Amino acid sequence: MEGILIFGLLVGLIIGGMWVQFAVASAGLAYLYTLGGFSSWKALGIVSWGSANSFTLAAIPLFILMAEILLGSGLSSRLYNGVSPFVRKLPGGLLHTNIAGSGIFAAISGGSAPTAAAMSTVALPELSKRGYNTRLVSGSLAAGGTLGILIPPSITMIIYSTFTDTSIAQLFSAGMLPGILLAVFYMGLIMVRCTFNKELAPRDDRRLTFTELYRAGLDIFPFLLLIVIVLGSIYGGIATPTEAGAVGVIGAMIVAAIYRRLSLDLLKRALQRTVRMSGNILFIVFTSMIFAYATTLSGAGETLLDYLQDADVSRFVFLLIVMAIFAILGCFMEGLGMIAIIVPVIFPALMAFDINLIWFGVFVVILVELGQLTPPLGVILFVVASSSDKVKVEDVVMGTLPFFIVIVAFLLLLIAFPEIALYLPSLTSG
Amino acid sequence: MEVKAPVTGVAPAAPVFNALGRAVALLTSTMLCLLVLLVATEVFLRAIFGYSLGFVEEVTGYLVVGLTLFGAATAVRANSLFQVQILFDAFPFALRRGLGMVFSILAILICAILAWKTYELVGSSMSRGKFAPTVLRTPLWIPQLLLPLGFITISVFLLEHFLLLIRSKQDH
Repeated sequence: MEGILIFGLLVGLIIGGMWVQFAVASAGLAYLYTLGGFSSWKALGIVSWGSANSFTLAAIPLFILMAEILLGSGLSSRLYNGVSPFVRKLPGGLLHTNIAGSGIFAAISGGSAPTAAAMSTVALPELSKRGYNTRLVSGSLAAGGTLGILIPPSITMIIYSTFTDTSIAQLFSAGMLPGILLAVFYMGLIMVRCTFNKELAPRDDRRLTFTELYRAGLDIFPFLLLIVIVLGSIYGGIATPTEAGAVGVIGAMIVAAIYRRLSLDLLKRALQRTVRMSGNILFIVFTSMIFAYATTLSGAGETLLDYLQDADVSRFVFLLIVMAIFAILGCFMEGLGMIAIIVPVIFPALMAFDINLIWFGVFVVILVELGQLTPPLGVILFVVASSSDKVKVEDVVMGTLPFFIVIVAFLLLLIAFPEIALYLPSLTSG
Repeated sequence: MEVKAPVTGVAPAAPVFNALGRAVALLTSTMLCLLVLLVATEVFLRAIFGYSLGFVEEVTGYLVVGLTLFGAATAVRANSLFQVQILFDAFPFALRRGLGMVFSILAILICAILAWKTYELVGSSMSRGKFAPTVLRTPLWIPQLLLPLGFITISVFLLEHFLLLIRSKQDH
């Protein structure tokens, strides 16, 4: 009963407009108080220390800084120009650049917002000018942006690993194939729609010349090199995911310097933005740890498990329930907070249903992707809409709908074929 | 989830808040640079020379503590903590101001509780002479002090937010 009241308090505070971090901390402290009065606050000091003092979480500011340097240096336009010659002849033309470019940027960025921002600022004005359908352009950018948290490195996966004690390296490798497949499905959707409705995108039948190919290769090369450095250092056994973040920062600085975009001003702005963004994210993890401590003490997870077993809920139905919970909460909660609050509560059920935690990590990340595209608060919708004065949030929402359906279908595919996520981790160790 | 622009207006003790803001910005930027240098140096030394500094994991953990709390303090000052505004924005100005003040007080109260509890931890580590079980053998109360100091800093910026709300006469 207390658990339901506390959850109501949490949702009420969040919807009422309180800062999410403090809403979670309020609910956590209140939950602890209901369990044993002021004495249950005794361990708060050591819980706080244990939550914040983490080598693993250092990956978050490092990956954010890497993306901020690349974003601030304006190199995303080079990436865009580099990818476009390879896909422009496909039905849908440059719309595929939005997806492929996002996929590549996702592999050097830990989040969806920077990925969507990187592509949207370049693509939205350019493609609208060339006569592409605005809704399809913005929808493809929003959908492509969500790949940022699925294709490694991923801040969302780092946070999931903190709450489930799973290997970040394995989670990263588990996200790779679903990320690529999802990108292919997005491109398939664009091709089908543009084949049946030629008004959506102009056709470009120009042949790819060798000079064009060479220039495009030069534009993409630094990004591919950075991907190889970051992911190669992890899977080559040279660096842990956290260390790969630092290597990535140095790599991003070198790339920006090669293109003569590195400056003190750029670094200063990147540092300031990174501090603010990582403070925001790390603080939500911190307060959620207090909430998770309270839910563990209360035995809410075990109670939920008993209820599920009494109701004879199957594994498939349980996963559908999880999908529904994330879909509802995704309407008004930030993805990282959802993971931090829900995962500790359902953890005993995951164990009881014998659900592979690495697979579930990918499943949850895709659910968070859906939340990022769900109005009224999908963060990616706002990122894309803010990239152009001529695009309204409604356009992005309408444009995103078909991609939303693809993501839901992909989730069901992932349930049916868990190997999609588990094949690559089976080849890696650690 | 929208990110609002920083609160504008003149707080009664603006120079103090601004000075603290600048100090925290400098501190957190330095911590972040140190984090990059430390971790990258460790990877470089290990990959090339097969040598490990041996204290990077420990110090990185302390830097994360600092970045979590002082980074959150900068986010509070920039009014960019995650916030759901769809219902909040629909309220009349007076109600929004009132709710904002209540939320600020509640958040200050939470910080006070956490500062108190973490300060107790610092005291306990100091009185028991606890050391980190690492090569540095750092007396634990030193990095643990970042916790209460961080919560106090967040509280100060929350207080600034509260004062700005009191003085605000129109929508910002």
